[in-house]
Amino acid sequence: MKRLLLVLTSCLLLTACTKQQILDRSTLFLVSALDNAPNGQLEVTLGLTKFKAGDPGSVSDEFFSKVGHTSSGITDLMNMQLVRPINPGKLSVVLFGKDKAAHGLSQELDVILRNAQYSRRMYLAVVDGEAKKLLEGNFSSGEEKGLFLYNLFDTNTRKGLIPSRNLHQFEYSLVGKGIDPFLPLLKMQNGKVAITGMALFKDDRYVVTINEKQARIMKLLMNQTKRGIFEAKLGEGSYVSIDNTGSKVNYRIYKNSRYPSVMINLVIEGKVRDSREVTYPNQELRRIEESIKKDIRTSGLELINLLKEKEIDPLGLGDFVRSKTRNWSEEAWKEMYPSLNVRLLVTVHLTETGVKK
Amino acid sequence: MNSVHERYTVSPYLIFFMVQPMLFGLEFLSMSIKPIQLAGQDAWFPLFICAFIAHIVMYMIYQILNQNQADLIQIHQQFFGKWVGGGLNMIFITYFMLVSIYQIRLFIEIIQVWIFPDLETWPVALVLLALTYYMVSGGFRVIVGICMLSFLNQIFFLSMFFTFPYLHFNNLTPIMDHSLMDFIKATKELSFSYRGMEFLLFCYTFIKAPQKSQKWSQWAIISMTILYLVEIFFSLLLFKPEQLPTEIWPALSKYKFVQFPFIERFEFIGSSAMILRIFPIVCLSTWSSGRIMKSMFSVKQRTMLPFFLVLMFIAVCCVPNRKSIEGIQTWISMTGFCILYVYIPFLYILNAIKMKVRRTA
Repeated sequence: MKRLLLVLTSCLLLTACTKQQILDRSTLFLVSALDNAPNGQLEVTLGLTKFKAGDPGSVSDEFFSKVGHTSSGITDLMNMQLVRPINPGKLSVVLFGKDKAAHGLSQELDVILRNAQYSRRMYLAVVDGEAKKLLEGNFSSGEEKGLFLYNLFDTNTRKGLIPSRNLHQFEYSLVGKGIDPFLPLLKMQNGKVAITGMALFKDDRYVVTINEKQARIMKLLMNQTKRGIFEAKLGEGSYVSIDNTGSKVNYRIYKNSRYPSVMINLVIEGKVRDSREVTYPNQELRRIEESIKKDIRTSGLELINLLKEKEIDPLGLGDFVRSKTRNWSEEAWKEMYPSLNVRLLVTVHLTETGVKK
Repeated sequence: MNSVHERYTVSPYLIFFMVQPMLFGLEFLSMSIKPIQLAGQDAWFPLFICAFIAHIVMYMIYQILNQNQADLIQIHQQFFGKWVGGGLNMIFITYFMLVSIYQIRLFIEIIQVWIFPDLETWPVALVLLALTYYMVSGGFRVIVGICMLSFLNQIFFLSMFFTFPYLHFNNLTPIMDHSLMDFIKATKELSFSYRGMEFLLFCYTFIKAPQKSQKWSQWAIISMTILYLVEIFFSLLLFKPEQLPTEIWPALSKYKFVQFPFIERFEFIGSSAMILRIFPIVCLSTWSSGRIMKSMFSVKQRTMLPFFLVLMFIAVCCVPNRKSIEGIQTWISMTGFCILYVYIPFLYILNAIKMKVRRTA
């Protein structure tokens, strides 16, 4: 009993040995922006949150930026300007300027991936222009900008409008063989921030941009979706819109010739959303299906040709072929990829026409 | 047979709860890296080979013990005489100490890397070893209780399901795309994960009706194989094989995907909960070392205990960084490999010959 008491009391001596991190006495940031600076340096902008005492609802942010060689060093230097030290644990959105992305991101990614404090679910994005400029704009109508951007990505990914891309997925496609990464592209439009497409990467360097429509097609070609509106032209300037209620995609490989060819089979189920007060008989529905099919097929093939031309593979066709081929080699695949035969088969089923005929 | 009073023995089914945590050490956190590097999507195959070998070794352990009705300490002295047998027992003490030191230091390292970067090693080591003292001095049955408690740790496997949106199922094909040499190498790497059965050699006399416990030991190995399989599959599905070598503890990185409204960073809980995994191993190893000392020099186990703990404390504090921890790991994996897959089969054969000679004589 005496011995036990001794052990227990000795434990009391050991409390609070480490550095305390009290929330009220540290500065958090949700968003950071990385840009190129002259002489191969890096400009880091952090959106530091500010809480007003006594008013729990109001959170504002203040932007600090500094130029230096490494982002960690810059963050440390920023502490010189602050009353409360910076704690990086809450970082949820990282924006890269277009120039920075074109110069390669792997060095900056290493900082984020190496630190145990960061989450793997944080969102990354490329900004058309300078990331710092975008953050300085007033786009969130008073809401904390980091939170605003996080919610922007989160809701759009959950709704399935843009392909999901967080830190883990970016690293996965960056390191993985036969697959190239991509990130959403942000742009300031009329004082509002919008996702205007996707920035496609070759290795860790940004190469080319695709617009929203192409991004949506890419999403359809990548995985199952349950949302999205398609517009179809019915001739003479009349359009109908179709609601996507579920699309499935699968890839198939054909190895009959010396080179494999890939067939992408896309099945879309939809319903008529907006028919401009016209009642369509059955054969008219077939015509709409045909029209949408043709539209998706042309833009899909266009996109695939663009990817082949730029020798980038965000769809992961290489990874798919690897999973079906023994002794797959990356070099041989890269040589073959620009001339790869990709076929796209689209099927559209219109099942419902809403509550009206 | 060296009789242990029935009051101190445990039921055979409890062996399941002892063998399982003994296999389930902290090395589990990084066990998937090397096999996947070597055998890629086929890493499950070497795992099955390894599990099969482990079952055979377990069978051999029971055969040796059942036929002699004694623990390894006495078998050593019977087989090899006082001096050589004593020397072999000493090797086991060193090995057990090394294992405990490795587990404790690895746990402290994880805490230092994931939660408190500026934490010193010695205060944590002191607390952990004080707790070990408390548990081991409670005797064998208390240690078994701790082992059962550590079974709770299995709950953390549920966290794997948070990674579901990020799994890529075409990482599993093509099946069997590796050479035989890759499989053999991967099997050797995996054998490290099945280390820990050897403690049975020392606590055999503490099991009530020990012959009945073999079933439970084999079940423990099966359950561990399933856990390893889940871990390897999730690592394959979640990471690219090129991505894995850049991680140190992939199993902990998986906690980074867990999201609850009320807790932002689950890895704080996940990595601290590893404490449940280290105690069974540290306690049983220390207990076995004390047991060996007791039968060899007839000193009381409780008087030896502080001596061992101080030794461990000094050793743990002397391990400075990742590199030296890896050094210890290679040491343990080498010794463990020799004990389990070389020494025990050797002992089994020796025992079989001896039994035959005795029967014919």
